[in-house]
Amino acid sequence: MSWFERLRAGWFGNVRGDVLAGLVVALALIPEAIGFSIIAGVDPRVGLYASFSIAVIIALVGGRPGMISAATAAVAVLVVPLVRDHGVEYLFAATVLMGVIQFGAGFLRVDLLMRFVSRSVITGFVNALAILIFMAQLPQLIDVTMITYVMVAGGLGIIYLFPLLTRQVPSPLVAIIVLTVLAIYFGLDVNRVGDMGALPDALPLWALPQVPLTGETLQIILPFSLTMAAVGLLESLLTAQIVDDLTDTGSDKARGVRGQGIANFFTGFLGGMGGCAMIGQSVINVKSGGSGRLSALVAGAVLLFLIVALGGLVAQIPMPALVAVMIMVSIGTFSWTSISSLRGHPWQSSLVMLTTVVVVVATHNLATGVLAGVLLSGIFFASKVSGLFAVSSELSADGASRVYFVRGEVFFASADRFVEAFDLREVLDSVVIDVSGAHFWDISAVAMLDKVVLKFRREGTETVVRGLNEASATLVDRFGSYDKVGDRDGVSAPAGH
Amino acid sequence: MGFRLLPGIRGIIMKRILAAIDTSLYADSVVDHAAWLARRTGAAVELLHVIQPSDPVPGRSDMSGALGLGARSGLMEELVQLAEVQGRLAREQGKALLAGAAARLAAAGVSDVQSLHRHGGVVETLIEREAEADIVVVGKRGEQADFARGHIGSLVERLVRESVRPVLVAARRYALPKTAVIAFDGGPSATKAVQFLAASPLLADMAVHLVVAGKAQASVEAAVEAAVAVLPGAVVHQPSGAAAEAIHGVVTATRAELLVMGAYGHSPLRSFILGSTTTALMQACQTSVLLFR
Repeated sequence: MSWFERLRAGWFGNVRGDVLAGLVVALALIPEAIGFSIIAGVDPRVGLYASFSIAVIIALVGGRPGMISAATAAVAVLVVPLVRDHGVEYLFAATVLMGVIQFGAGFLRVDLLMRFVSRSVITGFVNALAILIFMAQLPQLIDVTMITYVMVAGGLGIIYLFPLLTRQVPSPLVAIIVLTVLAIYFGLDVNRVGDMGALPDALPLWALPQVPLTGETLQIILPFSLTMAAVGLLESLLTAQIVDDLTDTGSDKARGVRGQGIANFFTGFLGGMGGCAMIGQSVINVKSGGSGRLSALVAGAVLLFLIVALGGLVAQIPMPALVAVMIMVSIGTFSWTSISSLRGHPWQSSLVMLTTVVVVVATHNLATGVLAGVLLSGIFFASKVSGLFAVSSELSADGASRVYFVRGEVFFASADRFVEAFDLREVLDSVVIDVSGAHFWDISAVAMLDKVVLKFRREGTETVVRGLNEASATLVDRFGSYDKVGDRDGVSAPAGH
Repeated sequence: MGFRLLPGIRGIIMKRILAAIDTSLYADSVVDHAAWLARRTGAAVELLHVIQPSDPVPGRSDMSGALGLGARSGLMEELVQLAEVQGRLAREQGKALLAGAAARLAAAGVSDVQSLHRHGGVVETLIEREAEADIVVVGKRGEQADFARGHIGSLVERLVRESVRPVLVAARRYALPKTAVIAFDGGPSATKAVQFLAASPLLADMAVHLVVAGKAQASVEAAVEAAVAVLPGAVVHQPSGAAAEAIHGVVTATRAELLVMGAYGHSPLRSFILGSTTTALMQACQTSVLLFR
């Protein structure tokens, strides 16, 4: 397929589905963008501008058609201290730097690192994200009027029951409209979106973040930019995988990573917060029939039009309506099957998942949680594989010599068990250690073999190592300290002369 | 004034004809054209039907936008189910289509037939399979092309651009070819076409007209002479006017069943903006078209 036809298929392969899905997504993005702005402690317009800018730019340069990117909870929870201590301008600067880092990461192919993130860690990530979104709603649910709880419950009721009536209208939108009308008509005593800060009244403007261009500024924003970039890429790559699976198509992950960088870079200059792909919105998009680039573009453009045209009305939306939508997003993001499968899965997998969740919820940093999960799953893997070796032995007829056969994988995690497998107390004239069926993976394995050989020699036992296969031999040749075995085909000279 | 192979020219031997069929109205014509080629060349026929990946995403109508418990796994399940049903249907359809085509070939006296049923992209699969074939036969439009009259399918256009083999684009109705018109511009692909035809038994005993359209140039004159030399008996026409219309005129006047030409000299972008003679001719002429790159 030529580039031109690919371009046409990516954009106009599914116009009707993409436009309709884009509309649904735009409507769903408004409460989310406002909600995430409130999480981050900035004016709603920061999240709304960001969602517009990221959605549109990703539509143009992203790697996964059908995936929706915008301002996200994952990034919002990270920047709370930055905004609190230094102000929103530093958030814009950090977003620009986040973009630069991600763009560079695209060329370093960090997307390939995703394969080291196991399924349990991903489930933990998703669950932690859902919990973070839910926890971010708590401030709106504590110390508020009774009517707030009633409205949240009513909103959730509409969201989940209205689809039984018709599936042609987005039910979260219906919930928001009904609750807004009720709140205005009865003058209900609830928080409004307008109370939460400034809403956009114009198109976003291109401006440099108002921060001093000094090393000190860099010191402040760099740690934030790095974690924002890492978390953004994690959620984006994960979402791309989900959309890949849903649509049964492939996507260009490296391009997706670079695209995230470009989108965040420009969003910082437009007065938006950093963002990434959104699991919930992407699922809504596919569910609504969106699968091309057009849907993200429509979503972003319609979002901007709605907030600029309907700014006054958006300010009237009662917060409980948004809280209901965010609780829906949280419920839809959480992997509920992971709870029932906790007991069915190996305990190591469940522990990795739970560790990821606990670390994220404790630190409010998805990157830390994923790192903990990846490390833990690595350790579990190493310990499992360390069992994949066996040592058997054969005593000669006269009882004076013994041949040990080592089979399987030997590496750092096998150390103790390797040494224990040899009976050093047995009085023998000579010992042959046959490793032809083993793989020595690292210098720890070589050191172990050394140790055993030296121990035998201290007892005055002639010791021969035979049958090092190619892979092990290279390591042994380079790192081993005992006398070299004469040849590699098993006929060996006695060591220790 | 039938055309015969010149003595001394090494004949091109065709071993395999790749005929691609789908559920469009063109399937029978493609099979008949393949049978015609097979009878002329003695080649075997490979019948290919490609099941294109179905995309169940746009087909659903759920604008509810609500994410409930297990939203992802539920959607996944639903999409897989939809695709499964479509896939099973497509497989049954394809099987019946291939069986019908094989029977039609057998009735036309072609016995060396292989059927191949594949999943994938139509053009990608054809390009993969043509490596073992000497000529490719497809319909002018596929099942997915819209039915605006006179259009050629976008897949057909893509195939012709990417294929390295001669491609016979079958008209909707098969008529035993008796007269062939060769659109000749002196360019490399037209020259290749003439050399190929001169060395193969494809046009044997058929009336051949060589249409030289466009401005008269010395280089073209020389190429025309060379072409006539290897195609004895060919009638040369040199009409004036725009190439596409002039060639179309000769095709109509001679009531030819087959038009032969070189394909797509320009980049896809350029032809998208300026249009291309190849596409214009394929749309204008109701005949089958044999294309060379």
